[in-house]
Amino acid sequence: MKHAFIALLVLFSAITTLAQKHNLFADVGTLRGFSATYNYRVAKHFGAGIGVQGYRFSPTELDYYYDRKRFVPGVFADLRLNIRPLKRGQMFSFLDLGIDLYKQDKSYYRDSNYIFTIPHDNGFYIGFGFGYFRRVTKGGGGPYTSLKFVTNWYTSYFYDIVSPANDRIYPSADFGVALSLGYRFGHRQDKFVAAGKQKKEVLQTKKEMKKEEPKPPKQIVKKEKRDRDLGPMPDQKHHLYADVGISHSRFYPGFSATYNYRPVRFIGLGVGIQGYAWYPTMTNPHQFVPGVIGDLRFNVRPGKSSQFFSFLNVGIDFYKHNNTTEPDSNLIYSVSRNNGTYGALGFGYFLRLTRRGGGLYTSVKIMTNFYKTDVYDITTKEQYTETHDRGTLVISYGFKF
Amino acid sequence: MFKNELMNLFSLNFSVMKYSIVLAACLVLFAQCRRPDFDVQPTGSFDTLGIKWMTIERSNIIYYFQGTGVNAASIYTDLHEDAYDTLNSVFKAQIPQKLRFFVWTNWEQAEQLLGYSLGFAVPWECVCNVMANQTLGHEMTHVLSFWADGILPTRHTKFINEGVAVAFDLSGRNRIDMAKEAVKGKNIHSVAEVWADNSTADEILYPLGGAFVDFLFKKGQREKFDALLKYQTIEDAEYIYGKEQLDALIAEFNGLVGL
Repeated sequence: MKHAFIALLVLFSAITTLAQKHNLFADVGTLRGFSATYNYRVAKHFGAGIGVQGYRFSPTELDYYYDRKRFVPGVFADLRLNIRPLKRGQMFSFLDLGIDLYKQDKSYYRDSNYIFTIPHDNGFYIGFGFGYFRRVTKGGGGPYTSLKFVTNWYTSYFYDIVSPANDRIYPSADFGVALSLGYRFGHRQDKFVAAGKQKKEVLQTKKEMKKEEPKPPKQIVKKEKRDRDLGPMPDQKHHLYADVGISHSRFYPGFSATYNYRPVRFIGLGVGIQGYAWYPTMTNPHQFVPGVIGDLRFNVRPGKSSQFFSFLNVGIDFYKHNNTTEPDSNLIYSVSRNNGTYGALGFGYFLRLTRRGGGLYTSVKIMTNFYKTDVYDITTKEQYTETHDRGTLVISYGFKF
Repeated sequence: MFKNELMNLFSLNFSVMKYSIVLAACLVLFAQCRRPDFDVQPTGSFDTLGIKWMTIERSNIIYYFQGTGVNAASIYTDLHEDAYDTLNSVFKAQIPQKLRFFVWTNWEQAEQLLGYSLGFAVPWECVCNVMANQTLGHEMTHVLSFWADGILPTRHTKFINEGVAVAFDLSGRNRIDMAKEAVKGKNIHSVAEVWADNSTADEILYPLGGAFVDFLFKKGQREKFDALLKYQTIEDAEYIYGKEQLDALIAEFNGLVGL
C-alpha cells in the first residue's frame, strides 16, 4: 500500500512537470534534508499540491529521550498562499498535511511507576512555514529561501503499574525546524501576467485621474474606503462570540461563549464562560472542566469584511482536587486545593463578516490551568509548595452575534 | 490531441492523488487510535506481608506486582524476560528455582515491612524486591551472577558484587563517564583503595565498581573474569590475573577515570 502510494506520487509528479503551467519547488536545508513539492496555482493567491520530503530529526518523544535522530521520509498535501504573486520579489506561506514514514522500535521509557511507549509506526505530518523569492525570473522560476516547522503527531501511551485507572492515552507531537534553500521550476500563468498588466493600466489611469481631481478631505476618503469594504459600518459596540471546538487532550468536544464590549475600535473587553475536557492537574483524571473568564481582545482589520482577532483570557477553572499522589523519582506530588487559575492565549479569523457585524469564525487557543502542588521529598523528608501548570490546545468554530 | 489527453490524464491523476492523500492521512490517524494488544495477563494472586499481589508467571521469572496496572505490568514482564535472556547468555546461571520479582509501588511501605530500602536482591532465595523504575538488569544480575555456572561464590566484596550489578544493569550508560564524575574532587588515588575498603560511600563505590568490572569484562579473558565472580577480593584477583597483569590493568583503569 505504502510503496504503491509513493510510486503513484512519483508518476503523478513526472506527468505534471510535463505540463508547463505548474510549479515545482525543490529545496535542501538544515536537518540534513530535502523537500520537493508540486504546486498547482488554483487562484492568484492560492495554490494546492503534493510533495515528498525527508528530514533528519527526532520524530517522537522516545527518540528525544534516547537522544536519537532519524531520517524521516514523508509524503504530504500542500496548501500555499502566495503573497505579491505578480511582483518580482515574492513571498509565500504554506501548510502541509501528510504522513511521516518510520518504524517504531519496541523501546520504552520508564519513570517512577509509569511505562511510556509509542506503539505505532508512522505519524501524522503537519508542516508550516514561509519563504521568500528575492527575484523571480520572467519565466516564473527562481531561487528561494524558506523556514519550515516540521511536526510529527503520534499517539503516546502512558501505563501505570499502580492502577489501570491511571493509564493515559494522548496525542503528542515533536518537531524540527528546517531552514532551506531551493529553486522553483515553473511558469507564471499567462492569465496572471495579463491580469497584472491590466491592473497596472487601471492603476495608471486612476493615478492620472486623481492628479486632475481636487483631493477630498482625509476623513471622507477613509469613510468611503470603509464603506467600499464592508458597507456602512454599524455603530456596534456589543459582541457575543459563541463557539464549539475540540480539545487536543483526547479530542473531546467543548464550548465557549464570550460577551465582548468594544470601547475602542481595535480593543474589546469582556467576560465569558467555557467548558472543555482535559487533565486540569497532574493528579486529576481526564474530566470536563468548566470555567469563567475575563477576556481582552485585539481586533485586526476591524473595518474589513475578513478580520483577525487575538485574545488573552484570565479566569478560574472549576474542578475538585483528586486525593491521589503522583510519585516522580524521590518526590511525591499531591494537589490539595480545588479550582485553579485559568489563562489562555489565542487567535481567530473571520472569513467574511455580514454588514451587521456577525459572521462565522475559526479560532485556535492554548489553555492553561495554573495550580498549587504540595511536594514531599522522600529522601530529605522536606515538604514545600510549587506552582505547576497543565495545558491543552483547542481548535474551535463559532459565530459572532 | 496529445495535449488534451495529457491534460485529461493529469486531471484524473490529480483527483486520484488528492483523495489518496486524504485517505492515507485518515488511515494513519485511525491506525494511531488502535490500541495495542497485550498477550500477557495476570495468572493469579498471592497474599503475603498483608499485601495482595497480582502475579504473572513467565518462562524465566514469576512477577508479583503490588499494583494492579495490567498493561504496564505486561510490558514490564516483556522487558524483564528479554533482559533475563540477555544476561543469562553471559552468566549461564543454574538457579535452583524460578527467579521471583516483587515489584513494589509503595516504596515507604516496602521499607517498613522489609527493613531495607528498595531495591535489593536475596540471591540464595532467588528473590528480588524492586521499585518499578529500577534498571532492568541490576537486581537480576545479583542473582544470576551468584548462581553463574552453578558454582556459588566463595569470597564476597561489595566492590565486585555491586560492580557486576552496575556493569550489567542494561541501562546503556557510559560507565567510565559515571566513574569520572563520581571520583571528581574526592581524595581517591587508585581503584584498588576502593576495592579493599568496603566502607566507601555508595555514591563512589557503585559507579567506580561498575566501570571497573565493565572494563575487565571488555578486556576478554572470560575464564579469569568468571573466576573473579567467585573469588572477589583483591588478593584473589592478584592470584587469578597475576600480580603484574592486575597492576597494569588497575593503572590503565586509573588513567581512564582520571585517578
